Amino acid sequence: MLNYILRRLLLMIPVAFGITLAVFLLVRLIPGDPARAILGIHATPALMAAVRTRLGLDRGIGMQYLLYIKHLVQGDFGISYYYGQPVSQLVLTRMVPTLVLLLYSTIISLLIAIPAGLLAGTRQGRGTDHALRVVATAGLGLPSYWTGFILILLFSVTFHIFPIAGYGNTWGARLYNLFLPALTCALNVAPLVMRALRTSLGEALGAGFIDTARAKGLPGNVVLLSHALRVAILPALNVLGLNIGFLVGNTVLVENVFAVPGLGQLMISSIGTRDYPTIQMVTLMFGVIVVLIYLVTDLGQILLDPRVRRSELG
Amino acid sequence: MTRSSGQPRPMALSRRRLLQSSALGLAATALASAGFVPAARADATPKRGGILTMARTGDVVSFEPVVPSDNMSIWAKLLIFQLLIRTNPSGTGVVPDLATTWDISDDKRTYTFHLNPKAAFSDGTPVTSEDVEFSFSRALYDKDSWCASLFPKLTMETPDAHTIIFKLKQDWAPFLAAVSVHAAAIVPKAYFTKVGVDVFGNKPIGSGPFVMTKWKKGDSITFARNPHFWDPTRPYLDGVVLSIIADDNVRMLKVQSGEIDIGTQVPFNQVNKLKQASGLEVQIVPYDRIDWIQFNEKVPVFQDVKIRQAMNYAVDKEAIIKAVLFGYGEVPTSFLPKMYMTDTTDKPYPYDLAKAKQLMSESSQPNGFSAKCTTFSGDTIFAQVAEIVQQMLLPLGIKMTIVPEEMNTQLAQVSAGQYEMAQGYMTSDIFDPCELVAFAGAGDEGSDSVWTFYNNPKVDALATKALGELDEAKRRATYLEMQRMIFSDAPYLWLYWTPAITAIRNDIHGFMVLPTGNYWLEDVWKS
Amino acid sequence: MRRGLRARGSLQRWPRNLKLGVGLMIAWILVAVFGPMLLPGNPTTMDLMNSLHPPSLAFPFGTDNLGRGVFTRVVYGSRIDLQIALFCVVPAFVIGTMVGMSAGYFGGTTDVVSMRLVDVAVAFPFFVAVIAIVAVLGPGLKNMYIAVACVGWVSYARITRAEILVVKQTDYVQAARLLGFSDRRILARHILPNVIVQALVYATSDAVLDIFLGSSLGWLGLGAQPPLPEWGLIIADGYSFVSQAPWISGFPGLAIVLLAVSLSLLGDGLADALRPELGRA
Repeated sequence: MLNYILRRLLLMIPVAFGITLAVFLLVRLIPGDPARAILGIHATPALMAAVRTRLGLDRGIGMQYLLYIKHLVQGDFGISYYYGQPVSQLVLTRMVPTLVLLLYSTIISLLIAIPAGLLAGTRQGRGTDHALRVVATAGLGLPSYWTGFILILLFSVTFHIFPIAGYGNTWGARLYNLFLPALTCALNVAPLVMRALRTSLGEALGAGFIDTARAKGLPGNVVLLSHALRVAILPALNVLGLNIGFLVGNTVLVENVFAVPGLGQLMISSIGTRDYPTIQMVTLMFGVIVVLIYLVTDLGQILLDPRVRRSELG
Repeated sequence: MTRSSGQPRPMALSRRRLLQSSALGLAATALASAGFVPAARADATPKRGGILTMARTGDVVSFEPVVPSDNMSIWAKLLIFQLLIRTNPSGTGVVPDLATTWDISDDKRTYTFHLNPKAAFSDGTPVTSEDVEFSFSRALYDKDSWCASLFPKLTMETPDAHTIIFKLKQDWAPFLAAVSVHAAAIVPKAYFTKVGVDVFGNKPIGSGPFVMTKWKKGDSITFARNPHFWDPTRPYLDGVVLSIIADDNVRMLKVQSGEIDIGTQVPFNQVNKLKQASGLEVQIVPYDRIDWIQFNEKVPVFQDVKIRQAMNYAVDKEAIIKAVLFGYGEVPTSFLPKMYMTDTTDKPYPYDLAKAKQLMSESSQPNGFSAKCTTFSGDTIFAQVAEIVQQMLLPLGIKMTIVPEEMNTQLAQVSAGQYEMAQGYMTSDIFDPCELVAFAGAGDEGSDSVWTFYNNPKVDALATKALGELDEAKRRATYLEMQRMIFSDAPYLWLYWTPAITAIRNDIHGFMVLPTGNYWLEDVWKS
Repeated sequence: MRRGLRARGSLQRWPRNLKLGVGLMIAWILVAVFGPMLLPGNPTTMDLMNSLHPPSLAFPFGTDNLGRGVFTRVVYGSRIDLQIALFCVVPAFVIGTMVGMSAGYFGGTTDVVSMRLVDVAVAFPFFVAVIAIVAVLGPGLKNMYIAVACVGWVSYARITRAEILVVKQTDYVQAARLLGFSDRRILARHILPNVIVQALVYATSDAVLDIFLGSSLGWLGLGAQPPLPEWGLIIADGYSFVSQAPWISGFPGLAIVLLAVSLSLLGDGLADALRPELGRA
C-alpha cells in the first residue's frame, strides 16, 4: 500500500513538469503585454522595454523556461509581476479558502447525492425516481453565478438565514459564510454523483449476491445498506473524483459572486494583468489539487473494493 | 471609474483595473457646474468612534505611491498619505493638506510651501521637507514614474525642516494641479529607503488620517486611526474596512441589508430601485470621465472628417444614455470629461440623421463602408453600447462589425495602432485638463492622441500655449478655442459623461466622492 | 456481455426514459430549425421605446433593457446552444474514442504515451484549461470549441480504454483474432459497437456540462459574444436585472433546464436500454 502511494506520488513529478511546460508556453501565447499592465496606458515604449528587461522577458523563451524550472526546483515560484511580492505568499493565502470551499462542497454533494441516489436507485422507473432525477438535472446546466445569486436572494434576503456574501474572520464564521457558495458548487456536482449512484445501485441490486442475501432472509433495508451500497458507492465516488476538475473550475465563478478571496479570482485577474508567475503557480496548484484528489479517489477504491485492490496492488 | 449597470464579470474586473490603470486613471477634476455637488451630510455635531465598512470592486495592487495607477490603489492610498496640497471638493483648485500655506513669486516661477509643523508619520517621526523632496523626486524622476510629464523642469530647495521651494525653469500654468497629483504622496524617506519599494508597498507608513493595519489579499484591507495624525480631534472614525465585493448585485444587496455602510459603483440600472430603499441614500456626483468610440486615422476612410462627423450625428446619444445608463449620463460638448476648463457652452453633436446622410453623400464613401470596432469583452455596458451604435450606423451604409477582445489584448492592439475603431474612455489624475489635453488631443506624449493618430498642428500650438499661459482667463480662452477645434475635427465618436454613484447608509455623515473619484474619510462620522 | 441497441428490438420496447428523451430532443431540434422561421421578430433588433416590458401577449417572455423580445431571443438561442452541445461534444468524442480505442486495443507504447498525455491533460482542471486556451485564442464561440476539443477528449479516452480492456478479453473478439481478421475490422465491427455506448451515455451529460461551460464563459466575456442570443449570454445580460426584471434571465434559465433534462433523459434512457434486466420498469 505504501509502495503504491509512493509510486503514484513519483508519477506526479513528470505530470507536474508536463503542466509547467504547457502553462509556461500557454501564458506567453496570450496576446498583450505584462509591461503595459504594470505601467498603464501612459507608458512610453522605452519605459516598457526597461520593464521587460527587468522581468527577464527579453531573454529567449527556452532560457526563460530553464530559469523558471531551476528556480522552481529550489522552491522559488518567482515574484508576481503585478503585485511585486513572492507569488508563493500570494497563492498560499488564497489557497485556503478554495480548498475549504472544495472540501465543503464535496461533503454537501455527497450529503445530497447519496440519499437521493439511494432513493432513486431503489425505486427505478417509478415516480420518485423520475422526479428526483429531473430536479437534480435542473441545476446542472445553469451558470453557477446565477444560481448562486438566486440562493442569496432566497436564503439571505428573504429568509435571513445566511449572510449575503463574504468570507469571515473565524473558522466558525467561515463555515457559516461558505455554506451558500459550497451549496452552489454542490448543485452542479451532486446530480452527476446521484446519477452514477442510481445506475450502479441498479446493477448491484440486480447482481446475484444480493439475491443470495435476500434468500438468507435478511431484511430488505439491511441488505441494501450493507451490500449494495458498498458496491454501488464506488462508481459514484469515481464520478465525483473525475468531476473534481470541473468542480475546481466552477469555484472561479462562485468565488466571484460570493466574494470569497480564493485562487479562482486570483487566476482570472492574473490572466487579465498577464502576471505570468502568478498564473503559472495558480495553475500548478490547481493541477496538484486535482491530481491529489484523483489519488485519494483511487485509494478509496482500493480500500473499498477487493477486485481493484488485487489488480492495482497485486 | 464607474462601471455601469453591468454584471460584475470577473474578467471585466481585471480589465477594469487595467483600464483605470491608465494614467488616465484617477483624477482630479472639477465640475464646472459646482451647484451639482450635493451638500455633504454634515448636519449635526460629529460623533467620535465606530468602524466604517465600505465595499469596493477590487483589491489594491500596492501602497507604493508612484507606480500603481489603478483606481483601487489610488483611492485607498489617499487614506494613509498626505499630499502637499489637494484638489478642492469642486475640482476647481487646490486646498491645504501637508502644506498649510504657500507663496508664489510674482513671476510664478518660485513656489514656497510651508509644512504643517504638527504633521507626523504614523510611527511618530515628524514630517520634514526632506521627506517631501524625496517623495517628489520619486514622482518626477523614478524610472517607473508615469507623471514626470505633468511637471516643468525645476529644482527643489529645503531651507529648513518645514519649508520646500520649487524653482521652475519655465512658465507652467498647471503647476499647483501637478503638485496635487496622487503619485506625489508624501512618504517617510528614512523608512522607504531602508525597506525598499516592495516592502513599502505592503507595509506603508504615511502621515494621513489612517494607518493600514491588516491586508487580507483579495478580501479586505483594515485601517485604524493614525495616533500621530496632526489634528487630535480627527479622524472621527476609529477605523475603516475596505472590503472587496466584485459582484454588483451582491455589493448592492449588502448595503441594502446594512451589512456594509457604503457600496461604491452603483450599477446604473439599480439607481432608481435603491433610491426607494429605506435606510440609505444614493449619492450621484460629478466624476471626470468620458466614454467614446475612437477612429484610427491611419485607416483611409477615417481620414475623411465628413465621415467622422456624420457618424457623430448618426448616433443618438440621448437614447443610449436612457437605455443603457438609465438616464444617468450627459451628452459631451467637448473631448474632455466635464471638468475644470471644459467647454460646456458648445453644442453637443445632436442626433440628426438627415445631416449625417448629407455629410456621408459629400464624403469619400457616399455609399458607406465596413469597419471593425474592438470592444472589451465581458462588459455589459460596453457591449450594449456597441450594439446600439452598430444599429444606428446602418442607415449611413456603415456596416460596423463588433470584435470583442479581452481588455489587455485590446489595449495592446490599440496602442500598436492595429485597429479600425475602438471603444475607450479616460479619467483624469489631476483637476487641470493639461494631462488629458496632452494625452487625447495634442499629438505628443507618445500617445498619438490615444493612438487615433489625430494630429492638428493648430491644436498642438494652442495646447503648448495654454501650458505656459499664466493668466487664467486667457488660458481658459485658449483651451476653449482648442476644444472647439477638436470637437469639430471629430477624431472620436463621443458617447457620454457619467457621474460617480454611491449608496450610503443613513447613519454615515460627511461622505463624498470627489470629481477625481477618490474620497477623504477624516471628516466622516457614524451616528 | 453483448450490448447494443439492436438487441432491444422495436420502439415499443424502448424504456420510457429513452422515448421521452428522444422525443424531447426531436422537439428541441424542431424548435431550433423551424422556430426562427415562424417568428416575426429579429433577436438583435432593438426597440428602445419598449424596454423592460414584463411578459405580455405581445412579448410572451417580456423584453430586455434594449427592448428585444426575450422569447424571440430564447428561440433563436436554441440554435446556438444546440450547436454548442454538438460542436463541443463531437470533436472530443471522436478524438477521445479513437485515442482510447488504440490505447486499449494495442497496449504497449501507444497506451503508455497516450495515458501520460491523459494524465497531464486531466491535471488541468477542465474549466481552468479552457479559460487559459480561450485567453490565448481570443474570445468567441469558435475558439471555445477549439479549447474544449483540446481538453475534452480526455474523459472519452479514459472511458473507452477502460471498456475496451474488458471487451478485448471476450470470447468473440478472441475468436475474431484467431480467425485472422484485421485489427481495423475487429475494432470497427466487433469492438466499437460495444464500447461506444458508454461513451454515448457520457456524451449526453458532457453536453450539459458544455452548455454550462458556454454560459459561464459568456459571463466571463470569453464565450459567445453579444448580441448573439446565446442563453448563457442572455442570462448574463439579465443578471443585473434579476430583482427588477427577472424574466430576462429566468426564461433562458428555464430553457437551459429543459434542455439539460432532455439530454439527461436521453442518457439515462440509453443506459437503461443497455441493461435489459433493469430496463423493464
